[in-house]
Amino acid sequence: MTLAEGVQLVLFGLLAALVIGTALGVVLLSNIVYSAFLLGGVFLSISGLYVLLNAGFVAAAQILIYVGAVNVLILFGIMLVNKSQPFTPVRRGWIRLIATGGVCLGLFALLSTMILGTSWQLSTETPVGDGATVLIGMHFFSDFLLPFELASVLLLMALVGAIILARREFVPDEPPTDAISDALKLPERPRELVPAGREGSESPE
Amino acid sequence: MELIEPIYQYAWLVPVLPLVGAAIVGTGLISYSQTTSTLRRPSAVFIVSLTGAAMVLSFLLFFSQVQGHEVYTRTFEWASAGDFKLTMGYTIDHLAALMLVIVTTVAFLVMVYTDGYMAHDPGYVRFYAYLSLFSSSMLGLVISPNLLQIYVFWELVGMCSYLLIGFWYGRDGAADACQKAFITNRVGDFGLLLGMLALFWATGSFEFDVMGERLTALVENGSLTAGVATIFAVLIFLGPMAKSAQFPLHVWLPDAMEGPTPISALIHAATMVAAGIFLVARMFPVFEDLPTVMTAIAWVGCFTAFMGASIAITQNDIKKGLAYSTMSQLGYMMLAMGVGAYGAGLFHLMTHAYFKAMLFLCSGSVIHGMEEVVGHDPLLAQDMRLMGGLRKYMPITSATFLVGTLAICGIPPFAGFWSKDEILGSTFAVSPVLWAIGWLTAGITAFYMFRMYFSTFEGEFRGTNKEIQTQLKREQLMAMGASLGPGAMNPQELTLDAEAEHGEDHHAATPHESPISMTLPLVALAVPSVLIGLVGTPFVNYFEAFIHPPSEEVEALLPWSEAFAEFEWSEFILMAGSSVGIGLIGISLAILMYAQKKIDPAAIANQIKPLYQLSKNKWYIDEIYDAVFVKGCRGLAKQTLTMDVRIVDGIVNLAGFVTLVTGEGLKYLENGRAQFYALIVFGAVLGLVLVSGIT
Amino acid sequence: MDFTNLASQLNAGIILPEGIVVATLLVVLVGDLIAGRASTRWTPYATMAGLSLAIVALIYQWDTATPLSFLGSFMGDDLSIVFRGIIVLSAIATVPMSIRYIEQSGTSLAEFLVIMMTATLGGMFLSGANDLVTIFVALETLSISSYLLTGYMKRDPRSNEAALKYLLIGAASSAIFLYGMSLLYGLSGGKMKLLEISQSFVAADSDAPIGIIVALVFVIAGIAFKIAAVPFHQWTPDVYEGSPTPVVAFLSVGSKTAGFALAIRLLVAVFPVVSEQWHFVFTALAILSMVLGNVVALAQTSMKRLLAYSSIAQAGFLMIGLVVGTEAGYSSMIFYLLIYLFMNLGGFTCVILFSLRTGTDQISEYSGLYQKDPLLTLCLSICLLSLGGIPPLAGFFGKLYIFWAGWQAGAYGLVLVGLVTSVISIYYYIRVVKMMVVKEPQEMSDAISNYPEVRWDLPGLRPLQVSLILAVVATSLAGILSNPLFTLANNSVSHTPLLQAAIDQQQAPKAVVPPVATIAPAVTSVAQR
Repeated sequence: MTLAEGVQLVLFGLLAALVIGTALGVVLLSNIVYSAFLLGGVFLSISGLYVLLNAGFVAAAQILIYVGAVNVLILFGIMLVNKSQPFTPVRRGWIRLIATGGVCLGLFALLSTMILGTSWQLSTETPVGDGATVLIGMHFFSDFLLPFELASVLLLMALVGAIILARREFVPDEPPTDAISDALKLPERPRELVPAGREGSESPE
Repeated sequence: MELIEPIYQYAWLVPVLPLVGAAIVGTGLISYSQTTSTLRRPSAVFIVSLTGAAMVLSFLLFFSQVQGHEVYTRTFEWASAGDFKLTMGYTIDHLAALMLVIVTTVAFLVMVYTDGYMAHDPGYVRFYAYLSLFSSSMLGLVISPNLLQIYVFWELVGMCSYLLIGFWYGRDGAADACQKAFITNRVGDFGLLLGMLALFWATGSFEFDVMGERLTALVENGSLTAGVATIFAVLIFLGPMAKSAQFPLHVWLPDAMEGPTPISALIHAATMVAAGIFLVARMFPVFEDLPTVMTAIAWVGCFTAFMGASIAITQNDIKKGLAYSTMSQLGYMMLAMGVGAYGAGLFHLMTHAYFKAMLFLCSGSVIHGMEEVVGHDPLLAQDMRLMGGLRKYMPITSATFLVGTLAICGIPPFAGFWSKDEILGSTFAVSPVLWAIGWLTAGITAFYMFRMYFSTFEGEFRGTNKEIQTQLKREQLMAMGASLGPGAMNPQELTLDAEAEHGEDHHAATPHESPISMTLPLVALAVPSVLIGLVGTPFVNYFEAFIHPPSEEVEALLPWSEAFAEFEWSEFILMAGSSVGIGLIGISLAILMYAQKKIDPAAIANQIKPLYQLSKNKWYIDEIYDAVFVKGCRGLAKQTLTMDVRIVDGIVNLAGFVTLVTGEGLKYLENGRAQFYALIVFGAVLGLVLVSGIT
Repeated sequence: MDFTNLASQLNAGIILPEGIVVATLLVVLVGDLIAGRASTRWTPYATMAGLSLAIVALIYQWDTATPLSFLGSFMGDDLSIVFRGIIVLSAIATVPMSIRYIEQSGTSLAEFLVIMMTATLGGMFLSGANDLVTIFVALETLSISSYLLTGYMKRDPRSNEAALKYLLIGAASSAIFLYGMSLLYGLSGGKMKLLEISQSFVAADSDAPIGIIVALVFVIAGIAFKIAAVPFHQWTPDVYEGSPTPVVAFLSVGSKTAGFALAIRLLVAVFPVVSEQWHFVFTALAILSMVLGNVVALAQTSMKRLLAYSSIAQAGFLMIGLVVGTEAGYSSMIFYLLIYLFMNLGGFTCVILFSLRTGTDQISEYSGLYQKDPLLTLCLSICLLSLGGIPPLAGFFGKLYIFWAGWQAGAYGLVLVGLVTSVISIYYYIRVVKMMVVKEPQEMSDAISNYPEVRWDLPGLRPLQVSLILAVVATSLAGILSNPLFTLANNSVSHTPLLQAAIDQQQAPKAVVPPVATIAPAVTSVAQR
């Protein structure tokens, strides 16, 4: 895909503004449903950036995975819980806000100085464009074979894990036969909420 | 010599035999607790006979060393990785052979004694297992060829001592005492470990003589300043300081008397506490070229000797009194080491091991007898104010106690005289001030030992005197109440009377002599207490010829007749006479005050009230430590401890994160912990970049 | 490129141990599907057998001539073999602990084993991963399985809480780690292999630019999360307390070992340019971990939290070896890991056994245990004392070696902090021992006075007993017979070209000769005179 220099610049500006705007919306809006939808916006705009970079495959994958799967899952989660609970205004919540803001700004400043202050080694090869899909496939079956295969185990295990978390409780039919397991339904009793440091009940003061 | 070699090859059996005993009985106790506990006699006989075998082997080794067998060292490379090499093994030289004999004989006799003393205790078998384990570790320590191995066994004996002090965990204070012992020893061991690493770093070796040689060379050629070398040596010295109960790390020893009496005799009088002296002796090649360290050792020893003796004057608990006396005698040994009197220090170690073990066993015998009268209450059974006149009921015990007392007071020809006199003589040559303090201490020693003897064995028997009993209990309660503060309830009056009523029905009116298994070891120990000193007489010092610093050559001994002729009598008589003299003064004072009651001790105590209180309260060292370290640490700990959790909780709560929560799962999320953790992670990343970027 | 050619280039035999683990995993998973609930009788043993087979395969690969496989994705050198071995061993030890525990909690065993084997697999690949993609995929395999294991007791809200916290913080740190890796990719001009990246850094020859430092710290954040180093440790106590105890045992050894393997390989291979900076960062992490871990552990009332802080502190000790960067440093670290495996797993086995019998893990509930269960008391005491570094148990020699290595290399500050904090640590370990041993009968806790009769014939307890005894024997004997372990640790370092190069490089510019070397000739000359 070849676009004129000016068009590229304008498009980049637009997409960048979209990314930043929607991302801020995700963080700052208090209604969680808005946040979730705006998150989809972030993902979409990022995939636009990928398109601008001539990475069609990544852009498509971004939309499929993040918008199609992740974001939809988040929305499902929110809808299933369906608990609209207003946050009570917290006492001295500004401390937390200031701390978070400070850390975020600091990181931002740090990364900007880093990005601007580094001489990046830019690749001189011409972009492969739509041939990327083939190339990625080649890599998967040559030098990235090991991580690719490992990912299959990871996915299998994630599947098993998801089933375990989601399936209905299995309750044994017959009561336990041995004598002591009655007292041991839970491996440990719920802990008493004692403040740390309160100990030494055994030593007479 | 063909007969001798196998003995050396199998010398490792000496520590291993008791270990085997401990392991077998211990395994039995863990796996088949009930069965093993019922096999009381068989277990005891088994362990005692193994220790006996070790003793025989030790004697064989000792005699072969006396006959001039060269030093036998066997090491093997135990672990090595790159240039990190550890060698282990054993070495039998004069010092090791002597220590083997001391440890095995005392251990053997104490084990025999234990049979009588612990006869009615449910933990009888367990006690034997511990005793055996301890003996094994102590023997291993003695034959270690290098500092690292010593450290390993050093910790082991420490652990055993810790276990054994807390043996009667039912008693008040036993658990606290073992904790105190542990912490105090940690301080020393920490220094020891640090010094060990430092010396290894500087000299590249854990062997004693190599270390000393290289350290001297290093200081000479200037690659290590004398100051640094001194710091290393002082760090090492912290170890012996804690283990041998030298000021300021002495606080654990008196409290350690909460353990059963055989333990006090074996571990806290004869062997383990002497390990510190032993280590100093082993490290002598390192210390002797560092004059500052030697002076420090001498002063610490001297001060400890004086302080221990001054506290012992006012103690009423018979075991505590003996404990402070032990501390004081250990101070003497340290003093001897510090002034360079290597042989004298170890000579005193040997004589002291025998007579102090005997004194402790006697006190155990007394307590055993008293328990018949006053019941199993250590507060009453160990208090000398309730004793008196026991000579009638316990003739053997009192006779042996008298022997021990004479020995410790330095009355010729008992063992203590020769060793103490040698120490004082060597000290005088180095520093008259130190000598003066040591000399004065000798007088105090004589006084408090005879005070102890008279109030225990002479006069009227006061054990049935209910008045004193009640008074004692009240005193204790007051001591406890004072620490509880004025707001505490005071229901004690009630229980006091109730117990007194209760106590009357089943106790005997008079104490009785202990069974033969207890008196026999007493008699056996009395023999060396009287005679052993003769091997180290200043005329013909066999001991000195046998035990001397590695760097020193000792000229051949002269036969008795010539030795007498050449001996400088005037100097000896002056030194010995002065120390015997002050001893006699102390004794006569004690006789006047406690036997004939010519002088009222209470009146004197009132006249010098501050001094009396100082002594009675053990120089307030415990209180100072409590205020400075315990309270300080506790405060510091409380603040630091809560840092991790509290700050998070605190900030979270401060900011009011805890919103209304209903769903179980969300509850933990909404209190904001997770967000806060993530914030910390990001903040830490930021901070690390900044810090590492700047530097 | 035809198939046989490619196959020979792949050199796939190197990952035979991992292959065995995958096969075992499949056998257990499918077998459980077919056999249903009856499978609990054999699945744990099949798991242990498979993992043991993997160990055997690892042993056979020692000193292999061609360690590089999968076109440079995976490095099967001796260093990785030791780390993989430790991870597999920790998994083997976790299995017997979990049989009874899982049964009592009423969840299914086979899935638990499968997830744990996947975590093991992730850790193993992480130990040998040689390019950025493999590192990340392996790391995520390990992490995601760990999250699942943490939340395995889904009826227990504390387990849920732990899993959720672990997941969130883990995701954050993974994101940071990934960002760091993308920076590495960009800074090196599109390189993936670790050595190529570092070569391109050296070629660029800029004096520690900010880009590399940012990448370094971001990567360290990911690693430090895995090894639970302060200040990336916040999750540890919460997760340790909430998760099922066998999982905690695995996390504290297996997962941590994988983190250290990653740390060594990534830092040594990629960041020689900024080696001063990463040493500085790790020094800071080590000191913070030792101090905070040991001090906070003093205040804990729950045994699992105590062990959590203790594991933070132990990570601090281990980092000394990493920071020192000498041959002795690396091998001391591996040696300590080997010992830590036995003593920590032994300790956890005891904690599990206690909680199985009494249903609690409060430290105060341990008081008087000696009277009811001497064996458990002995085992727990030995493990805790070893963790505290009391001679002659194994932990003492581990600490000694690490401190010695540190002192030798001139890291006096670190060693001093280590010594002081290890003295502190002894106190809280001893406190538990004291609680169990030195308590009079009337001070016995409720849990102890209701202590059930000691029985080993319940299903799942026998393997637990065997593994407990093995761990305790190893802990007590590894100190006395430590030479094979020393040799193993040392060889794994000296046979690894990567580390050798790094050690040479570190020593060349510094040229700090330890005093021993300089004085030794002088001393001998003095002695000769």
